[in-house]
Amino acid sequence: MNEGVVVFVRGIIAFFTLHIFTRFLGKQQVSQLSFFDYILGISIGSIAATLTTDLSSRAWPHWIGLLTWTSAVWLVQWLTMRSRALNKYLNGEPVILIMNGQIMEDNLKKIRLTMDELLLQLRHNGIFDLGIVEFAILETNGKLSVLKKSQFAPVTPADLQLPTKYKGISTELIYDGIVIEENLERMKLDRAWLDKQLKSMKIKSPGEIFLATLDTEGQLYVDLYKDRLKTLTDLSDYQNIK
Amino acid sequence: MSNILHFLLSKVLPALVLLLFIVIMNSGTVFKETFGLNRRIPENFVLLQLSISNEEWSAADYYLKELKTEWKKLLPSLQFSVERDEINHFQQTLARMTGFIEAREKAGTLVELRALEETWRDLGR
Repeated sequence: MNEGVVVFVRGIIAFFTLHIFTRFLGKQQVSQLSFFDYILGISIGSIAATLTTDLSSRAWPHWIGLLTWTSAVWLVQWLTMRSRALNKYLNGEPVILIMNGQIMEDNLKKIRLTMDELLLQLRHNGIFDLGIVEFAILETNGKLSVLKKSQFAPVTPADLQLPTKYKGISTELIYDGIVIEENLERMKLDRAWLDKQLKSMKIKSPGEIFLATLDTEGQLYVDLYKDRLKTLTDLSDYQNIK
Repeated sequence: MSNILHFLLSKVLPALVLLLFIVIMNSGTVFKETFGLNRRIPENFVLLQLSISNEEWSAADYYLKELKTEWKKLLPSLQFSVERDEINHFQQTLARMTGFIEAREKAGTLVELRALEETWRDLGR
C-alpha cells in the first residue's frame, strides 16, 4: 500500500466533494453565519480532513458522513426557509441590548455578554460615546447593529430634499487586458466607442489596462498596469520584509 | 445553447464527479465481488486447504506463493477502498502462515488460513 498515493487520491476526493457540497448549500458568507452554522462548517471540514488522512478506516464511511451532514444542513436550511417559527427556534432571535438609549442589563445577562464586550462591539461600529445610541441589537450572527439617535444620524440627500441620480452597478468592460465583448454588447456599445474613449485617455490598446469599468452614469474608470504614481506609500515598517 | 452548457457544467458535471468518487471508493469491493476478477485468491484458499489437510507441504508452498503473487497484483486497485489495517492484517497473516508452512505445522497453518479467509471476506466491507 502506497500511503502517499492513497492520501493524495483521498484528498482529491475530499476536496472536490466538499467543493460540490458547499456549492449545493449556497453562498452564505462567513460573516452571515450563525454560531450553529459555524460549528456545522467546522464539523464538515473535520470529516473531510479525516476522509483524507485517516487510512485506518475506509474513505466510503467518511464520505457518507460528509453527505449526511451536508444533507442535514440542507434540510435545516429548507425547513427554516419555509417556517419562520422554526427559523427562530433553530437560529435564535436578535437581542436588544440598548433601547431608547438605555442598556438592557437583563438581556446582557441572558446572553452572557459583558459590558466590556458591548463597548468593544460599539467601538467596532465607530461609536465611542454611548450617549449617541438609540438602539443596539445583537444579531443572530453575533454582529451588533446600531441605530444612532436621530440628531446624530448622518444627513442624507433625502433629508435635504436634494434630487439624486440613479446609481447602479458598474460593468466590467476590460479585465486583464482583454475586452469583454458580451458586456459591451449588453451596454449597447461597440468596440469603436471603446477605442475612442481609450484614445482620448492616451491609451494605445486594451492590453495596457488591468481593469476598466463603466458606471450607470456613463463614466469610464480605467486602471492601467503601469501605475502613474511618482511615489508609492509603503506601509511596511521593515525594509527587509517584502 | 448556453442554457444547456450551464446545465451541463452546474448539474451534470458535479454529478458525474461525485459518481466517479463513489466508484473509486467502492472499486475494491466491486472488483472483488461482482466481476470475479480476483477469483484466483479464493481458489488458492481451497487449494491451500486441501494440500495442508493432506500435509502436502511442497504443494502448500506453491499455492502460498501463488496467493502472494495474486495479492500483490490486486493490492494497487484495492488500496483506495479498503482500510490500511485490513491490508496490514492480511499481510501479517500471510507472513505467519509462511512460517507455519516452513515449520510444516498443520494446526497453525490451518488457523492462519481461516484467519486469512475471514480477512478476505471482510475486505472492503
